[in-house]
Amino acid sequence: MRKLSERERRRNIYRARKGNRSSKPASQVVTVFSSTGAEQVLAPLRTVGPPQNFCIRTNTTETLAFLNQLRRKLLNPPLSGTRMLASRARERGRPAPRWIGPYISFENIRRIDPTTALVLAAEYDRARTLLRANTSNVSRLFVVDAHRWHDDVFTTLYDVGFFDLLDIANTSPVQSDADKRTLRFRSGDRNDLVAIDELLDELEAMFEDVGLNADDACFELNGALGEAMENCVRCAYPDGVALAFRHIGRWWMTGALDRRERRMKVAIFDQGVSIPGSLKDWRFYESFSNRFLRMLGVAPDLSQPMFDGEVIRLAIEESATSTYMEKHGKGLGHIKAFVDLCASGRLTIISRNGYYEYEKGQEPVVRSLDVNIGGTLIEWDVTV
Amino acid sequence: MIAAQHTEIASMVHNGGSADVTIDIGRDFSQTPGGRYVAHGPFSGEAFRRELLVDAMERAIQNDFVVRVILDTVKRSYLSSFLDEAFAGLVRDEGMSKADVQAHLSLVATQPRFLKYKALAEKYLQEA
Repeated sequence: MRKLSERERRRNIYRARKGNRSSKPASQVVTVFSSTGAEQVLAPLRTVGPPQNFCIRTNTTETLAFLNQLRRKLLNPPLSGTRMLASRARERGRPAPRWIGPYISFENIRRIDPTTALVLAAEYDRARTLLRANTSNVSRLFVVDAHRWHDDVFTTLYDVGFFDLLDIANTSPVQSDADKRTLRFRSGDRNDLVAIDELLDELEAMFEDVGLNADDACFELNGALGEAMENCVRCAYPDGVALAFRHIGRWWMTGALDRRERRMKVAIFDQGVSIPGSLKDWRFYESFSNRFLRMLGVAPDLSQPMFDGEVIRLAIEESATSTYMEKHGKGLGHIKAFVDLCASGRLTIISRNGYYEYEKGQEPVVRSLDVNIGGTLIEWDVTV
Repeated sequence: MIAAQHTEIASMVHNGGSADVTIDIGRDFSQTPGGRYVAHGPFSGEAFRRELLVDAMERAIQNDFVVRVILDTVKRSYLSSFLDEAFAGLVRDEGMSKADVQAHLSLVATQPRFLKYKALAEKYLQEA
């Protein structure tokens, strides 16, 4: 008998330990929708999925954890393609089906809010842009079994423009009288007040359709949203700073209406260095640093995310109260001030690991999260 | 080219070198003024200052008249960075004296909701 090589010996031990587990993963037939159309493919039963309540504000940790997982998966897509499954082809007398690896399934989501849909769309937009450089990757972005998604989830993603992003369909915004409507997202890499104007025009028109007047709110929101966009364009993607994931230097924004509650929600997101990550170059850094030391008893260490929530709060306070207002730094205070101009409202800022929430008339709530959002998200949710 | 057109528009209301010059931001520049710098996006405060304001202000200081800038003809609110760069930038970046600018620049807003932006611009100019 031939003596086994060390490699063969180890392989036999591995197989013995593995026991009776089948080497083939359990598979299923699913429908893949991509830029090349709809197609039935074989897929493993194991999937990667967002939480049922896919909402950054109300289910922050789980939602951000999934988004981080998604980011890694989209930017390093698993292999997929056509593999001749010879045995199947012989059995059925037709070409073997395509197969995909463990995929991202949206089937279990029961609730998604427009802001989370925006962040999701931004992640797909980044992946699409980066993968486009390699044409063989173009069809790698896809969704699975979209016809099985919860109706509200499908509608929100459809409205926000998710399917257009993947070149699955050239959809047009839904003209419905539904209680909740979401605007198609906009994206850019410059401080584009024309884009803001168009978004606010659309929001105003939606409110008019349902007999509400959002003119005053949109008038003021223009400034707050513009300040946020200005901060993004100026600070989010500094030269020479390496981020955990490659970026495409853009912002994304959307808006939504809830007719029953007379609420308007507008959000802007970027995938940059974050507010805590960019403060060291801030004009007010010294006074911010003194304020931080006074309030928390330690000097700020912006490389550590444990104080990110407090950092955001104190940066906003510094911006709003500083009397030395040369050049940069006025924006954060104005972003918050918009909420105070509305009948009621809330500002939520999530940046790196920091969470800041301000409800009109109340003290801000801040905390530092275990997970990083991978940029900065600002959401205004106000009563019209 | 754009600067020349804007200057021409602004000059149309300038009568004989002694009367005031009026620059209407919504009419002469943009209905949707932008942020601070030209490099960051269209219709910035820097573009407004350089294309419209500097030339008019230099002539105003030289010939002792007032440049009236009408703020409330734009569609929606201003960004603080636009106001700061446009008006405080005259002192900070164009080398004009604060006293000259304050004496020869008049910011005009008649609609109530634009008054705070007028006050903000004046505050930035004061702090420049």
